[in-house]
Amino acid sequence: MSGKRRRKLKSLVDTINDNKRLAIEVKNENLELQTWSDLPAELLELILSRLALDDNVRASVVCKRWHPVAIAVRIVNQSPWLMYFPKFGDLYEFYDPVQRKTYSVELTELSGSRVCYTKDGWLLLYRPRTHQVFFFNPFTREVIKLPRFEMTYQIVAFSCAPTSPGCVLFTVKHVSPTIVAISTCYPGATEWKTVNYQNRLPFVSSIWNKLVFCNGLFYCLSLTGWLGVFDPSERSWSVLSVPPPKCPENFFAKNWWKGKFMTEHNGDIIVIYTCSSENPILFKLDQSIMEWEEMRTLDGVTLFASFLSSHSRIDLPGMMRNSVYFSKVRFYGKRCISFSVDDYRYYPRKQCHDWGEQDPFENIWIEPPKDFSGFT
Amino acid sequence: MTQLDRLSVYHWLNAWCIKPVGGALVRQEPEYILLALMGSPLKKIMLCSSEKEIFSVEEQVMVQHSVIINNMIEDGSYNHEESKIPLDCVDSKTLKKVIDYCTHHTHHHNDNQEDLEAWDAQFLNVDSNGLYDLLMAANYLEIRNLLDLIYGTIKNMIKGKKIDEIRRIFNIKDHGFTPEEEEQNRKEYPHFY
Repeated sequence: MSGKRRRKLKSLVDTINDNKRLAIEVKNENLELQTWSDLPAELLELILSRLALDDNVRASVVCKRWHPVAIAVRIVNQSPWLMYFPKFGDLYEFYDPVQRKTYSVELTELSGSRVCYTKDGWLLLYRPRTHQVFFFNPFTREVIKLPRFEMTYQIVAFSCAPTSPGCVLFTVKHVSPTIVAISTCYPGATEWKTVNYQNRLPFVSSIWNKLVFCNGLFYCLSLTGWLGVFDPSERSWSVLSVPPPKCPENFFAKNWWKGKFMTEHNGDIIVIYTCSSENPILFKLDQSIMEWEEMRTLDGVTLFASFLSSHSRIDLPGMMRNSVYFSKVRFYGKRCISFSVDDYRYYPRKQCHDWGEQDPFENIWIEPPKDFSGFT
Repeated sequence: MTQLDRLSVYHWLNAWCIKPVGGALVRQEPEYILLALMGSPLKKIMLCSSEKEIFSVEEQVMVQHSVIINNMIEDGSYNHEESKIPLDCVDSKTLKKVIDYCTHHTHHHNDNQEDLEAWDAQFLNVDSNGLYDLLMAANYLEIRNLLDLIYGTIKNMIKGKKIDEIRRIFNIKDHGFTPEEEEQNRKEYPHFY
């Protein structure tokens, strides 16, 4: 969508003359029968850019004049939606930041459970009372059960959709500063497999750790900023000798370990450090020199940050690029709070964005399937 | 204060949502306050349609909604006694509807969301030619709310429909594709036809 255009103040005379010119242009077009196919390109752009992908494709074949405009504004990628978990009842809400719309749907399959992780449109959920663990796809309502496991105070992640081959679940718990217990599972297994591993560098697991699956490996960021890596195929674990990302002193305010987010993009691990009184800082792990480097630009990428799971996306509408979308929606459910890396500011302007204080189970960014037309 | 004056003042306060509640202002919307400071409640302005028909409208109503008219008034060169704003590409029927929209939304600004949405839906219950004229007028006058509303309506006119139906709804008699191109489209997206 085009950015805000400001009209310069013109004198009344100039305005009338300009309008006369425009009027004459329009009048000439009036000689033929006015048709929708002759809409001015800038209007067409504004209209077609609001269409969902499948409707955009429809518009592109309606008439020849619409075709190039539809292609030009077509969003190749579907943006993640923010899924809200209700404290009571079964009504779940999904917020689409592109259309700025919220959908509600009743999901009785999720009662008594809390969310653990999401990837490829699938949720991993856990029932603390019964230790039940299961996959759920809110778009297809499919449920895939897993063996029970006690993981009330652990974070867990999985590698890909459970319907894809090679889906692995991973969770880590420290036994001592140099020993961790890693538990893995997969769809169809009868039980979780737990093995102890040693790490040379100290590693502490907690519910504030962040997990991401990237390039076949599970990365786990501890609350002090050290990165543990587990290879599920080799079954090997080590803590990388990469010192934690360097933040300015004032970042280490109260609860400094809480407001962190981790995701991956194109094989790179990206970490977002936040602090309530400052702008967020983005770091990328440079694996060649084993160092975290600060990211000044996102190169057209959009990040979606929520406590348990974060995502990256390319090819979203222009306005959304080079931004971090946080898991909070303001203005009566219309605007999502985002941080623009280019403009180096929050939208809307920050009152106080303390991402460390958010309820981890309140909401999560989830990827709807491509061409998803809505809940029936 | 005459009856008319009191009514205007009521509309003025109501429209700009300035309700003194314990000293604080309730429901401030910056754009409205800014526009409010520009316009004046009792002043009227004249709008002239392409058919040379004159419409008299409260200045603050048009200033609140139309960026073009707001700029014209702000500029200071609009003389309330003599000037009329010529809108050569908006016909009387459409101009009347646009004025209707702006007036309603100014005077009913405090209504609840559902009532406003119901009124909007009723307002846009027009044929595709009428909608086209409204779109052009709203674009020309830069009335953002009305534009957003119309975009939403157009989106629904396209959403989920078969191509032939969309062409019928939008009165597109000649789609402009060559027979080969049209055949290619049908092959690529059979489920849309």
